Amino acid sequence: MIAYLLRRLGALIIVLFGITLVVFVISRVIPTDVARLWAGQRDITSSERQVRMIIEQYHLDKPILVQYGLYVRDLFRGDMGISVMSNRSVWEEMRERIPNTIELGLMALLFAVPLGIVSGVLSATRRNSWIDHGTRLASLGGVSVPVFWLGLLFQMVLYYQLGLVPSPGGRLAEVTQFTAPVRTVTGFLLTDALIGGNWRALGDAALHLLLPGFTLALPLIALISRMTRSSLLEEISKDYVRTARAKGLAGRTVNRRHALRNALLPVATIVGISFGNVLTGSVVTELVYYWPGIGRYAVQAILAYDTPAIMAFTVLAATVFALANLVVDVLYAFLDPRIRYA
Amino acid sequence: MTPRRRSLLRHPLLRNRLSAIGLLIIVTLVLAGVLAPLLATHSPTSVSLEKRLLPPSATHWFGTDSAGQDIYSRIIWATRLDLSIGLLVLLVATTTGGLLGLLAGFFRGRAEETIMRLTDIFLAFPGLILALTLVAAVGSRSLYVIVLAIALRSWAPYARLMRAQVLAVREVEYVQAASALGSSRLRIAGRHLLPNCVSPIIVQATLDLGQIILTAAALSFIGLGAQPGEPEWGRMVADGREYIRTHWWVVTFPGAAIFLCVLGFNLLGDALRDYLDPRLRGAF
Repeated sequence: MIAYLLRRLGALIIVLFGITLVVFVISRVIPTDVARLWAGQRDITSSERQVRMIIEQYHLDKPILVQYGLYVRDLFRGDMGISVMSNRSVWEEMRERIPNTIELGLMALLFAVPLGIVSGVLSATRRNSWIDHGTRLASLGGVSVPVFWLGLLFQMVLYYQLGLVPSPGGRLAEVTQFTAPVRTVTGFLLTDALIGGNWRALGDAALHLLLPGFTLALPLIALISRMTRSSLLEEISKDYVRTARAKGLAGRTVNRRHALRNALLPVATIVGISFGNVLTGSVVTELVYYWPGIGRYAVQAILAYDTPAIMAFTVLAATVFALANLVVDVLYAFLDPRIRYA
Repeated sequence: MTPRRRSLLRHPLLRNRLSAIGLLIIVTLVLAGVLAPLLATHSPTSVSLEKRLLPPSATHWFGTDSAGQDIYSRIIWATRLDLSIGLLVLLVATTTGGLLGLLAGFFRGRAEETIMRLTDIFLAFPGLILALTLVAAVGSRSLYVIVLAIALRSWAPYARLMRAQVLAVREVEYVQAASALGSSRLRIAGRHLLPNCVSPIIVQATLDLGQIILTAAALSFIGLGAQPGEPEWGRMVADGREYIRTHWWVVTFPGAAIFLCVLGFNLLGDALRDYLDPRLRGAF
């Protein structure tokens, strides 16, 4: 197990360096005049002085390999540069927004994991029934739907037509911001509202979280459901399940105690990948719901050619994705000894 | 002779109802793209301020957008662009990934190690995010930049798939027989390994096409894909966003086109997987 862990960690380190290298090449090597690109896009009159400042700050006059070395060094020190948009440190900007994205992502997983597994199990155990066909069709739809369109349709029907959900404009209603302002402690709005005993804000924030969370969750529900169904079907057809049935165990007991436990292994992979996918999904979901998270920040950065912010976001997203995959693999090896020794 | 040439309509892929629907959707969309000049009722780009935001009617089947353009005609024209992006990305991704995977599986050793590490690195990026970064860095939004941006991540799964497939096939007897008979390495790779490795690639490609089109649409929705004014599904949804409160048709129809297209490829991909790879029958 330890040897396996070390091997995976070694591979992770290579991947992490690779990530920074790819991002560096894309953002620093491909554009012809990096400094002018960063300075010039903000306002046309940006002076020579500004360009020189940028050259100085990001070591743009050094050889490209040295630049990369300095970039990685700065990254390790937590220095992601200064945002072109706001002139603040990129890390500070991100730190303010990350809790919002985490809360949104957790909400989505809270929907996705139980709904996905339950619908997948129902579908597999009642194979070829109308529940199965309905679930399969719905999950196929779920992986095919463009999330941004779905979000807009939800808003159109649930907010503008029916008035069932709060307005799609961020985390709290404007009224709440004035009548029950939340004091920032951890940066996580729900936690802060809870700590402050601010029930009005807590309720309002939870209501605002539901629809964006569900929108982000829908493709994940579909993915998890499909995986659970196929994996459970495969287990059910195996010899040990037949043996258990032949022994006289009830079908439900066999499914739950024997087949499902083994079937959930591949599902764990998908759930892990979903953690990574939450960041990608958040880009579009946050944009549609005006959610103040890092996904929307990344889009703003891209539209403003804010290279340090774009680089920081891409590195972060890829790192989270790679880490999620590692955790899943290690968990998998822990649960299934065959992998460790392969 | 045995009746090998059965009617095409009895083909297993057409007898499965879901895959037949998928095929129908895709054929319809391809035809819509090819015949766009004939099928469109209006010019996709003619702006007319007095015809702004008209609801669906007999003259404007899906209504008009905020520039007075006919939404139905724009959706039809956009089929060309969106399907071309999807196919071009797929072409770049499968050839690059397939070739690298073939090299890795065939030569092993140092080359394999390098290629597979590279694959791991690119697989660590979420596709949309890497595409966003590249489009932002290049600053241009031409069709080729978008294609390259999406392909930059899409090739990696093909490299992995191809390598695994080559490793499995190269030990099979007929390959060893060919080698014993004195076939050159190039001939073995081209004539024996490649043809026997393509079916999982085809399945993956069909399923991928839907995801690629979703990514392209998302890029355009964000504002990085198609040029302003160009008919493209994701862009049209973005343009209609301001009007969802009062003019439902502006976002609804272009989004539905994306949904149908992706659904079609997924239905077909699922069926193709069951058909070409019986081991996975019933999976997903």
